[in-house]
Amino acid sequence: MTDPRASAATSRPDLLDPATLSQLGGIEFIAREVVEGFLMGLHRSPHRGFSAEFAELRAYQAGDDLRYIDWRMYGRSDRYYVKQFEEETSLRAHLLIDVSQSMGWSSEPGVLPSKLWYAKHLAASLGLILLRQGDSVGMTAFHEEVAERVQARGGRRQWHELARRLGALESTGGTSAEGALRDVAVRLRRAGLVVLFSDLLVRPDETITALKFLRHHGHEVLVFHLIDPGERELPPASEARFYDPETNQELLVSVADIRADYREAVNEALAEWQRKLRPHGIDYQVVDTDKPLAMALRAYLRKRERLG
Amino acid sequence: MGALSPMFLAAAVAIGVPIFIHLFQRHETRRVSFPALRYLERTEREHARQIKLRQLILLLARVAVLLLVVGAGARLFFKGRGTAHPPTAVVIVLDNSMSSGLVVGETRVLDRLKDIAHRSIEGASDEDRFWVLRAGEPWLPALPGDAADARAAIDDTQPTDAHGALDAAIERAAGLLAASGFDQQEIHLLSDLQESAFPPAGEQPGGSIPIVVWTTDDEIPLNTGLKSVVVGGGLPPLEGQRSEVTIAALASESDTARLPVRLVVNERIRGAASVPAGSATSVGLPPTGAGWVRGYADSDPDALRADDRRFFAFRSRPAPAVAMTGAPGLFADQALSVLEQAGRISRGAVATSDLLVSDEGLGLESLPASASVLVLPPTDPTRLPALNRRLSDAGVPWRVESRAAFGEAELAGRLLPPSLAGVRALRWYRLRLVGESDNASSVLADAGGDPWIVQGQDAIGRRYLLVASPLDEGSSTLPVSSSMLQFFDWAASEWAGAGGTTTEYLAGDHISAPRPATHVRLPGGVEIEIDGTRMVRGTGQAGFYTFLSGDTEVSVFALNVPGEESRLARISSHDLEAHLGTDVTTVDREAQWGRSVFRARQGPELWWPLLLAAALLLAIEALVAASGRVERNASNRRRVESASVDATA
Repeated sequence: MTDPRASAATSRPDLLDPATLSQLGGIEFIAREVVEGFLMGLHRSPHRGFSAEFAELRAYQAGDDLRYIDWRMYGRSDRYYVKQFEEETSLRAHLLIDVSQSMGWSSEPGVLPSKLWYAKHLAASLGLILLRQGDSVGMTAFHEEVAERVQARGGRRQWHELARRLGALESTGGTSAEGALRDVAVRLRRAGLVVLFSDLLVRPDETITALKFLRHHGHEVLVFHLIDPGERELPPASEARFYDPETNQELLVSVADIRADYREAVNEALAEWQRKLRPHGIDYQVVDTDKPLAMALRAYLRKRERLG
Repeated sequence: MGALSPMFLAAAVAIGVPIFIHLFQRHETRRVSFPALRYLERTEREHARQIKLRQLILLLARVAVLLLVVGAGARLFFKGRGTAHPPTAVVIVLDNSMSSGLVVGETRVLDRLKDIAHRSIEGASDEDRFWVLRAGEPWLPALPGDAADARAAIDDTQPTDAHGALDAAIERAAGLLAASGFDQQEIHLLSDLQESAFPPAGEQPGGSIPIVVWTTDDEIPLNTGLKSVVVGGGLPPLEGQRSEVTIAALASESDTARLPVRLVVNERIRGAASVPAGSATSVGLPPTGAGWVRGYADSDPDALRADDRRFFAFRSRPAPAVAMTGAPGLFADQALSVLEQAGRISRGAVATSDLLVSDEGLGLESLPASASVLVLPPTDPTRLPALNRRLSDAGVPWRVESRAAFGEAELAGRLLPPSLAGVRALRWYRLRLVGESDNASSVLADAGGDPWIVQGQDAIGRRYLLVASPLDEGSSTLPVSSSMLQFFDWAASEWAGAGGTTTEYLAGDHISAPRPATHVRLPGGVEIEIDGTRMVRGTGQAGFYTFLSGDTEVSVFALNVPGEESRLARISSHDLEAHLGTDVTTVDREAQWGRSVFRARQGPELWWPLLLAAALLLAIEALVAASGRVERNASNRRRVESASVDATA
């Protein structure tokens, strides 16, 4: 039998599907392997300019603040470089994780990990990357109210604390993201990066208002919309009685009849999130929980690049 | 609408399956945890009504498809459309009795019936079987054939002068159909539906077989004609005697005009008169010479010609010489005396007599071979052995036994002389045939199943009549009735004269050929040979039937039309149903006949349009239900592909 750890060592764990990845071990190990694999991939990737070594100087781009141009490098190379490192180390990131009951759902229990599992490991991986860059990372878990909170700090110890607290999260209760977002906005005195991990089965208008509130306080906001493949596509049944595990509400559905319409409704809902968040500078990324973690991390990378 | 495979219709219960699933099964669904219910709610809200409508359409389409397939399997067809019908056995009862010769307007009734019969043929298929029964010629064999044979038989049909018994014809038709082996059977009754063609009361002869009956409400024209012709009051004149002919006209309620009549004897008009309807008149018959006399009375022709003429025939000859031996009794002696006084007979010696009235067989030994004998039994049974001995000596194969039978039995028999009609036997000896019977021996009448009077020829060719009862008032009613004279006159003039009869024969009757006739000349002049049965059948034409032995006329029979055929009143529709049954279709318009016959007629079978409709409905059903099925398959495919990609990674 193949040892998943051995295979992880010889391949890119960040590219493994979540089902395989979940067999590798605890959250700390998985996050570390994913990040290592991800960073290793970046060396070969066209997205150069991000790591501890390469992050110190970056080629000047139009719009960069002239105060950060490294004049000594200009003297030596006659090219403009921006001192990037100093700026990035000042980033304070806060991870907001939805731990409502719907996050604990998987369309294929035992095969496909839940959305919460995916959110925790994605958050851990992202946290590790941030901490390795010298950023400070905090975490807040919420359902109808804030369930867990970790103050933003940097350093190796913070990583272990973060991993431990993330690993202990369980799905429970309903969802009320707007409260948690406002709480974070109030507590974070310094502008930073707020990353939301949620299936967004929330009240959209209130949640968008809360996200805009964060933006208004100067935070960069990145939303990871976690979605199970079983939520995109209805199960192969002619008819079923569906119920919401959070509200216990039931609905008798002729699956065959509404399959196409449902698919369109889901796509429309996702597009609506995108449409409403984008104008406010809020990055929105749909993350399928059957896809490798690296895809979500790249979204963060793009965000980070824009942050300079 | 009908079905060729009706058992298949039971499969229609299969429509219960989709209905059951629609009503019940769809609610017994599994419960699925699904957090993204809000997306479903959104979809359901928008499409709930559409989905319900679509499900209803699907249900109706599926039920309709099942019904259409069941209908196709049952081979449904429209009745009464198109020309096809299941193979059918059809008996066309064509009434060509005397009354079918009636002319209504300018058309003969039979010709119109034949036209309608042709309409039955026009609707026939190659698989149909036909019989054409002519009600006026029941002696003709019924041969099955196809439409062409039936058409030929119809075309060949001509009116007869015989009576048409429709109930007998229908009963015969039912028998033919019962043996036909066909599932579909019909009787097409084409008749003028005379009331007299049906018995007063009878069981429905057609049974459960459908009968299509032609009815008409055409006005019946007034019919006049002759009812009867009687020569000499029942005693034909002897040679040289003057006599008279009584001519009776048909009764008529609406016509009181006198009917002119003419008397024609041996092709010469011998008299004329006029007679009111329902009355009779006498026309003098002048003396005739020896030999057969043929004559008829006729009136002016009307719409029905056949009953405008009535025939008679008798043999004119000298008064026969009658001898008497023994003591046959007072009644016999008195009857012979009356006949002698009337000039009907003459008394003579046994050796020169034409007829010997012999008590106990006395005098047989001296009777010449050309004479005949009437043998009467003794009143005293102890004298029967002497009678039997004399019968044996003369070569008569009958014996008279003393086991006398008592009771009261009316004489009956196919060859019963008219003079014995209505006579009842009270006591009679048993006549027993000894040895092998020859063709000359026959029973003329029986009483209670026992032979009462027999005839035959003895060893030397003398004709004999043997009676089972003495001619006294205690043995039969004959001696004390008016039939006594007629009986002796018949015996002396007709029977002993070797033929010739004033008996009323009707067209259609079977005539027993008298000895020694070998041929018979029919009214049309055609001569036919007499076969071994010595019966002449098919006497459908009224007129003279002359029996010949070589060139010698042996006897002449005058056959007349049956009187009931002259009564043209039609049976009422109520009585018609009572006679024929409830499964009767009456048709009174010629154009409707073609649509009314072949009642199991099927239109074009519907299986292919039903299957076509089912296919179309299936296509619609597939289109309506396609999205769900296609997407479900696509979903499964995506899952498989995803799994294989993961496995590769």
